[in-house]
Amino acid sequence: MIRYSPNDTQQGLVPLVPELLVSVRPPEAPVIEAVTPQIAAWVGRDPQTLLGSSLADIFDPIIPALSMVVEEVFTSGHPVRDYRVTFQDEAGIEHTVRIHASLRPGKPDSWGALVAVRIEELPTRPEGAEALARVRNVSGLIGRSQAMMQVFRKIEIYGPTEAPVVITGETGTGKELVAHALHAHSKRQQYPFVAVNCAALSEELLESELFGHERGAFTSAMRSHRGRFERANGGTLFLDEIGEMPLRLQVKLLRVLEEGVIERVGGEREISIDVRLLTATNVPLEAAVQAREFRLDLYHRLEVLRIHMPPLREHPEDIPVLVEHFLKMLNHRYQRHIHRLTPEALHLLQSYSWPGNIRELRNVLERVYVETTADVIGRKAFDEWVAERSRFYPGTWDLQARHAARATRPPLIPPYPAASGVPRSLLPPVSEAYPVIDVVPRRLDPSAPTQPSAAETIDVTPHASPREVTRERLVWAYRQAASNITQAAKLLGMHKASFYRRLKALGMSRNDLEALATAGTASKGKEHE
Amino acid sequence: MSSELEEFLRSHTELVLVNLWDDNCEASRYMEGLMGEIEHAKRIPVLRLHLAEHRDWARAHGVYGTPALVVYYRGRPLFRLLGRVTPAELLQRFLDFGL
Repeated sequence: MIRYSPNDTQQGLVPLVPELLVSVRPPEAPVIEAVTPQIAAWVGRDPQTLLGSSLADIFDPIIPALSMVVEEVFTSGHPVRDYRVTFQDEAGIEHTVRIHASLRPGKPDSWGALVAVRIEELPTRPEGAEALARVRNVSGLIGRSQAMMQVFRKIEIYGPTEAPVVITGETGTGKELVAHALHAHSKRQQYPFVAVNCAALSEELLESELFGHERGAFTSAMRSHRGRFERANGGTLFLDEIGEMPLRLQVKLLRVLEEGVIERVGGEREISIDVRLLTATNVPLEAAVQAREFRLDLYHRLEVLRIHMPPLREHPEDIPVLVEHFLKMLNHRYQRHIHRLTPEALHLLQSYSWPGNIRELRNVLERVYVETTADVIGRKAFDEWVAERSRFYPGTWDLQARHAARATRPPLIPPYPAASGVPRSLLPPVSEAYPVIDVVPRRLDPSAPTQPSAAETIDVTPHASPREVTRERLVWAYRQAASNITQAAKLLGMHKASFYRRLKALGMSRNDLEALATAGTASKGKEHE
Repeated sequence: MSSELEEFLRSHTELVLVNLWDDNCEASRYMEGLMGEIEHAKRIPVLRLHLAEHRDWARAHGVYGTPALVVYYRGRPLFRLLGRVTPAELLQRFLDFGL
């Protein structure tokens, strides 16, 4: 009989008493030297009757993986850990087990070796839990659709790696949440997560924010300042809208990535940093590279792994769970108890194309939530919002018609539809293949015509560059967007920061814009120039 | 499907790494990061097979559980790693085989 010693626990791989001990003496078949009653019960035998028997003869009909594992350990000399196997025992009961095996520590023996096997039985998941597990919440990202499951899977894969990740997707799809989730799944989770929006700051400010500055580096630098890279040291730095980063800073960023050192603005010494870089963009970086607005070498350095966030219109099946989540959040914030939306209201939300994606859904829900006094939100509560959207917004209410229309029209630059705010400079030139993009207001009434009249079609012909956008077009877009800068910028295919920059370049303030839009000085004719 | 897979493994003139994985297998998820990096490095083609979809093929090749890595050369398995392996262990096995 085999005696076990504390040495068996070396490397933490072999328990004091393994469930199964097998001797291997080639060319003979592996022989069972010890086995627990629990394992013997799988083959319906008493453990004592199994000693000295061939492992393959006894266990192969039930769990052939055991022979494979023993063979693997014996031939390679390496342990096997966490090998998961599902099988049915002699009584037809299904078991899922995790097998660990290694050579029994000790002197190599001329006659062969002992392989110790530990077998952990895993609990079988109850049926109800399976359905529950289909809705997942990963760091605030919620979904049960295939598209979101793919995202969750990538987060789990990419999170623990050190590689840079580019997160793409339209505005409002939750790119920053993905960055948070990647950080939470990484080994850096105990360290800071620092986010910067590259489009929100001017070039000088962005440089100072990222790399820091020394006292006296420029007029207003009254004291030295640690940049975001330094603040994120050991952790993760998330650069949102990386496509908007000026070329000069791209060079500096590339140096940081290659050498792991930064220099503060006005500083003379190099500071070593250890930061994982995550970036996000709602413009296709490939096109930005072609347009020479983004450095190819930086693109290759950043584009190691990519996660694409699907727009909400591509996974409307997630809307009910998102609504449930937002209702819980709002109930908590407003200390009220609105439990659900009526099926009609949900159907309405699922039939809208959500150009603003989940952010738009959340805002619409909050608005309706605040206005509702009942415990359940019905279809009528959305009437006002529907009327507003139908007046000017590019979203259509009939997804089927939209898909049909898309099928007959050449794509723009997938997966970045025009409504997502792609700079027009990155879109292909206007030609017959890419006609004027019609932004068509639709009505919820199913009886309403699906084709827009000529008067309803708004011309948003792409511009070559935001720098070429005229004052008249700014005013036109501002008026069309009901004084909403974000939407106005979208109509012109630019980011709101670019809209502001263009406004400033034309020597206008927002008040000027408001005044011009109200006065209607920009004529309809000029809009279509 | 299995015959296509066999044909691919036979006809491929370089090494192919086959990774059998399964849902709800923690070790498979652990290995996904490593597989992703290997795929990205593009040094060796990686076939990622879901065990439930390729159970017969896996059994025929002596693989009954997950995760499992099998390195093939011209349709012939060179070596196999069962269970969770670290990048260093995988590298060591490649070195052991002079690859």
